[in-house]
Amino acid sequence: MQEKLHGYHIALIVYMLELDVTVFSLPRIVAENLGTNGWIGLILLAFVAVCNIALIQLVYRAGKGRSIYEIAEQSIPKLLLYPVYLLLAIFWIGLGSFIGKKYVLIYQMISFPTTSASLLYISIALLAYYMLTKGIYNMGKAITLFCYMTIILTVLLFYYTNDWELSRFTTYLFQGAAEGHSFKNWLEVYTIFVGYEITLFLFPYSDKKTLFKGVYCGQILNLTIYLILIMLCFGFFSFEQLKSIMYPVINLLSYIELPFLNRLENLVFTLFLFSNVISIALFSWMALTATQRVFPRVKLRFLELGILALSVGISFYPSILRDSEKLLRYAMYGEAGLAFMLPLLLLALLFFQNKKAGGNGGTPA
Amino acid sequence: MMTRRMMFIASLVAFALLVTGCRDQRIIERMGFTRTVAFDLPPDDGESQDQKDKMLRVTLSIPKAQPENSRIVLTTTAHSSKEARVIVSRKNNRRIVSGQLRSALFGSRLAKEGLWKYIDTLVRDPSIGSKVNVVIVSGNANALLERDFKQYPSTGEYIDDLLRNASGLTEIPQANLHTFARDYFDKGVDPVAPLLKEDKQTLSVDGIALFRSDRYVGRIPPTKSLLFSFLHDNIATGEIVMKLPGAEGAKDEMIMLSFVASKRKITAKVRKPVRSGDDVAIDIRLRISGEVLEYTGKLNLQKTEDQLVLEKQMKAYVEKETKTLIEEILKLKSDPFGFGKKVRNQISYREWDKLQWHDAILPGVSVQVHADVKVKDIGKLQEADPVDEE
Repeated sequence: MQEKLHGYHIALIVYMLELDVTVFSLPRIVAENLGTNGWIGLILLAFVAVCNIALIQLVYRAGKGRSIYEIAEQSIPKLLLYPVYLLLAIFWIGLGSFIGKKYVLIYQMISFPTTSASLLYISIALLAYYMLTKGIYNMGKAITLFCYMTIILTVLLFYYTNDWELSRFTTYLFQGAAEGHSFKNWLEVYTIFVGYEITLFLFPYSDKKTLFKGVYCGQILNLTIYLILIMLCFGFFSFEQLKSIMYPVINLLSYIELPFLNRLENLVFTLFLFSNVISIALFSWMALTATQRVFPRVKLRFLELGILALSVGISFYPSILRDSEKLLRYAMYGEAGLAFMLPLLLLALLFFQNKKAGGNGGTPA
Repeated sequence: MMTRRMMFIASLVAFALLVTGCRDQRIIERMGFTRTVAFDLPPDDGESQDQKDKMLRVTLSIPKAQPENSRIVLTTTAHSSKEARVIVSRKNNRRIVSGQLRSALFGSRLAKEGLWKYIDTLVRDPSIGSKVNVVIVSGNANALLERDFKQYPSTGEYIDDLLRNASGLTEIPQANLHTFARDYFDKGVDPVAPLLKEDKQTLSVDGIALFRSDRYVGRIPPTKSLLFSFLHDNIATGEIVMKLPGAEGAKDEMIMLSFVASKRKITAKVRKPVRSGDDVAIDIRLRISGEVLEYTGKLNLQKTEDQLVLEKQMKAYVEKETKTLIEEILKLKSDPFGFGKKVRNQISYREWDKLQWHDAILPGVSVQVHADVKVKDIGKLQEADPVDEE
């Protein structure tokens, strides 16, 4: 049996999967959908995410650490499950692909306006492929390195002390949202937390004791970084300005002028390549676990290649930023829904399984 | 086996890198990096067609590496700044790019009509940074940028240095694309920008331009700019000359404070509902300290009690002058100090949203200034003029 992922690595996996290209528009999305002092809303939404993680934890407890595929296959015929697995796999490949494509399109906008987006995407997919082939345990280790690269960036925050003003936060709570408040708007902000559901798939690969400690820590780390970023933006930009800027974080970075270096956004945006490669790789890995169930005999290498090939194929579809954003948004809604539905379904299955087991006088697990 | 795979990966990476190099080439010798750009209305010569079409006159200043301090200056008339770049590119032997843009100059006539559409394209362009200086030119911006100033490096560089120097001395507030956009979008504060003008041999800072939204509405002369800075920001260094009234019949006394540091605190008292300026009282507290290096008055600054007297006189001076300054600015319906932000934080969102802040409230707001001026030290000379002491 392979080595188990420690909670520490799990935390960083969750953190890095949640952190993707959406972070560049995050402050605007919060301002636009939640209004003034939207950061408070973000804390509320993080609570929802924590509840979701608690659901997943229940699945883990009730299923006694079995993989979710085993739980499902115990009650549902495989013939019914396989198409679902495949659909889910395609969905995750697509999700990773849309994240990568959006990143590429923004990258193209700020740095390489005439380079083909497909070429850029393929080079990223290649990196994701090499990550994927290393398996989840090694991915966890590689992620640690990239994770610190993003955390170190928070040092840049001190550059803005003179231009930051508390009074720009205003004293209003959730006012001035672009379209008022609706479930959809709050959901759109919620999607930035999408990623913690990977826990469901990590059951068989992780250390029992520290798994959920890691997931919660990852979620809190993610929330902390987001809050720092959002508060920085709310005090640096005026509220209406923040709503008007597509990618406030890029503007934020383009403000930095050091004696030996300016236009830092090009550099930092490139650094974020890794967090997107990781998102693609991890979503592909989720797809891989599903396809492996369907095709247990096929060599792993072929599945991995197939997944990344499909990812590249899907990425060709959105060719302009508007489409890419729309697709990513819908895929994120889907994933957020899935993150709730899957544990609920599994809990229902486990309830019946345990009841049945109880009725039979208890079969040994 | 392993080495073959490594070779494969290495060659893939090399291929990717090489292929990427084929696109988006930026060969530095073939680029024209615009350093400064000037926007203005075409000269008003009565019946010019350009004038009727509301065209824009754009000047680009592109530094050249050889010979030193030389540059290319190109001017054209177009409907927009981007069109101007296209037209200029047709004339130029290098591809014109804006990645190194440092300053954008706007003529005062153009600025009076509103600057947002021009700032918008600059902010929108991903190749342009947010720290590009925004400068208003008293007079014609194109002419200023086209001129060469013999004693100085190329005009673009001269402008940047001048601005950096002036803002270092707190002669002018910080004004760049980011601050302009930020304050333009905020109803509770208006942008400001430095003013430049041409002199016979040099350029000079001509004070501070005041805006209402994106329209240039008034000017603070250079003699008042430090007073303005006291109110606009916390400042770390500056120099100010104060003219204090002398004893009866005597001449005015001059005092110069150097290395002035100041902190400001603005508070608003609001009587709800806010219907007019009478319902808003703004209170400004200034804490100023500086070094006295020049003083023409009769007081003996060695003595603590005389220093206290002087501090009182300076306090009166600052309070009176800033109050007059603020009243003049409020008459222009401009809010560069962000009084609106303070009022906003006192009233409900709905009330603020409906408030005609600039037109109905701002001109009538009452303002109190409380200054606290301290002499930090009096330099390194102990004795004052002993002959005068007699």
